[in-house]
Amino acid sequence: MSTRLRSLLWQIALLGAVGGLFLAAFLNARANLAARHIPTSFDFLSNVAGFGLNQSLIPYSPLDSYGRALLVGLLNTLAVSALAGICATFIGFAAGFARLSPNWALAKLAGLYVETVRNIPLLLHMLFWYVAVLSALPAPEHSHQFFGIFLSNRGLSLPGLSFTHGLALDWPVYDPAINRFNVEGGWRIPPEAAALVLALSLYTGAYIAEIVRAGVQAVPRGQSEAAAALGLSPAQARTKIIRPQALRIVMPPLISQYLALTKNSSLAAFIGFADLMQVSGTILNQTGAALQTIAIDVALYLALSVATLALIRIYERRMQWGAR
Amino acid sequence: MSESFVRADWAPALPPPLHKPPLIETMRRNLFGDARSAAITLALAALAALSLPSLGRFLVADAVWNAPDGALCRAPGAGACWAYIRVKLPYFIYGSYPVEGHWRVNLAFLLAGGLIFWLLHPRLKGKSVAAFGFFVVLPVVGFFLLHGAPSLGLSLVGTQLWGGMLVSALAALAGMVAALPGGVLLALGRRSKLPALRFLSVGLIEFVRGAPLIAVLFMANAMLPLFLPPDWAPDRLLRPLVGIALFASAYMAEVVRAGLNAIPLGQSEGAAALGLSRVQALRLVVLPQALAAVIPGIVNNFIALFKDTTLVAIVGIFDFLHTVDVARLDPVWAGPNIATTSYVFAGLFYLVCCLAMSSYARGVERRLAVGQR
Repeated sequence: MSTRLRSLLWQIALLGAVGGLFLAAFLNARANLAARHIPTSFDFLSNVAGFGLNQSLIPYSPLDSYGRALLVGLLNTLAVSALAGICATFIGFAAGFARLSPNWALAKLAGLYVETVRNIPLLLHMLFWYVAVLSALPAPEHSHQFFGIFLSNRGLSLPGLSFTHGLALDWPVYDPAINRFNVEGGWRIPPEAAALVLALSLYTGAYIAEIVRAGVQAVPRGQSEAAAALGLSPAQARTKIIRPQALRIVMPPLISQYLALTKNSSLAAFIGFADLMQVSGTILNQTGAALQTIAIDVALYLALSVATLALIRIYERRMQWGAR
Repeated sequence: MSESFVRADWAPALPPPLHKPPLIETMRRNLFGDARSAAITLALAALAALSLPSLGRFLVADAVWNAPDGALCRAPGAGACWAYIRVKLPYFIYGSYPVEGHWRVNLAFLLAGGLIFWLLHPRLKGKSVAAFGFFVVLPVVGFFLLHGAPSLGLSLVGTQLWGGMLVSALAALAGMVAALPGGVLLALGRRSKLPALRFLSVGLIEFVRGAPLIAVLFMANAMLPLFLPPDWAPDRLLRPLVGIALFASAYMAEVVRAGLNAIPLGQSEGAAALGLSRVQALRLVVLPQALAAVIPGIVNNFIALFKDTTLVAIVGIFDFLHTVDVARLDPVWAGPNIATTSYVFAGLFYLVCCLAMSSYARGVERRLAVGQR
């Protein structure tokens, strides 16, 4: 028997086995779903959701559909990920360069931050910020306030643009007699979102710091020696020679950290922030449509990762000309 | 004429260069090298002077070490409530596992710990016996020990009572035991010459890696019972373990693949020239080198896996962090410092475990580097 034929037979057997497995799973699922009266189509998406969401970037009420609730969740996921991604980048670059600082105390402090934060689960970070820090803040009537920013256990209130009375700065109005439970007006970042962004950016920042450090150290020492030989000061060598080359090495792993951050934002489900995962968990519990909601979730997250990987691919191809 | 350019007498000898500058000099250079560095050092010193004393007071000096209930911890000015941790410790270790059965959990811990030590310690011989014990004997014995075997006089303990470090360790071990063989198989499948095998492996790896672990856990929890015949209904603790095993295997596959890619083609060609079959070449020549090359990656994966086991709480499993988070709601102990105390304790636990793993990995790396020189 030729090798070619044998490999063909192997593959047919493999596909047959996997196909049989899928068929058995499909038949079981059909029987189980019918026995439990679980919907098997995506029609439920247009049904009335009936639950409120505490944070939404687009108008949403409990009378809207499940589909719109999912859209709210997706937008919340993207918004929180973008915000946390920006913060994590700043923290990570600062800590990464600090770890390489000639100042011994600064380098050790940055090392302490990286090693501590990376070795503690993200969920614990999130619970710590949400329960131990943000919930322990004073009630709205005793908010910390500075420059029109109010910080209380109802979240962070910032002055925002108001469109109701024309375009004007809308300062949080604070009147303890009328409003004991909330700070009204302005833009409010609820404590759930704040805890999520804090935890995500500090956690991811520690990983980015390591990427930055590795990137800088991966630039051959000859580069800084040559810069010194050409008469550049150490500071000039850092900004003009080392950093541009390090950035090129740093970029692909940095992008995959953003992807990890987006996936990690699904931990919002633990503290009740209405992200994609939390909304679909609620829908799953209400409708029992496990297959459909999980399929939607996985498809959306997969789309995000495919887009990210494509970004890395493009970046690497564009940088190819400079590869040594 | 030219003599005038030549020195007639010897220049005075310079003092020999200091091989090691004195400590004071090193510190001066590293902390006060220039004005900016000095400013940073002073700012950090001020920060430490402001924060460390109050941190020390909270964690040690003002902490409550012994108390029957939360009254002392609630007193104004009290620090961390370690008495609460002491009282709740059995719950953090065993969950709701019956007290008279705690020795069974201890025995399982001891067995697993001993086998891991045997497997990992460089001086101990008989690794294949240890591997057999860890991968085959331990799961069987552990199951009967923890779940119970009425015929052996061990009463049944339902998994809904399991919790704490027991479940965290179980989830992490299940993930590790599944991830190594699963990851190797998936990585080999991904590099296979058979398009069907390659396609299936890539599909599974990228599908699992593209989804967050919470989605995989939801999937295992909600969909596993749907896909199996109704009378097979998998145990509620088993379902997330399957999800974790799948997740860990997919990530491990990418680490192993990196190791396989790092092995030069000459190795398998050399093995073939020596008359080894393809399987022998893989088992005896390529895989050992590939796995050794990625030990840091494997351990990093295990650390990530250990931290990720905290997510099983989303499907109602009481792992260590979940028990800590539930225990702090006990009205007997409720107080302003209980949450912080709980989280500091949990954080220390994870920190110690993860640092132990990474320091072992560094030791192995150093030993391998010595062997290769």
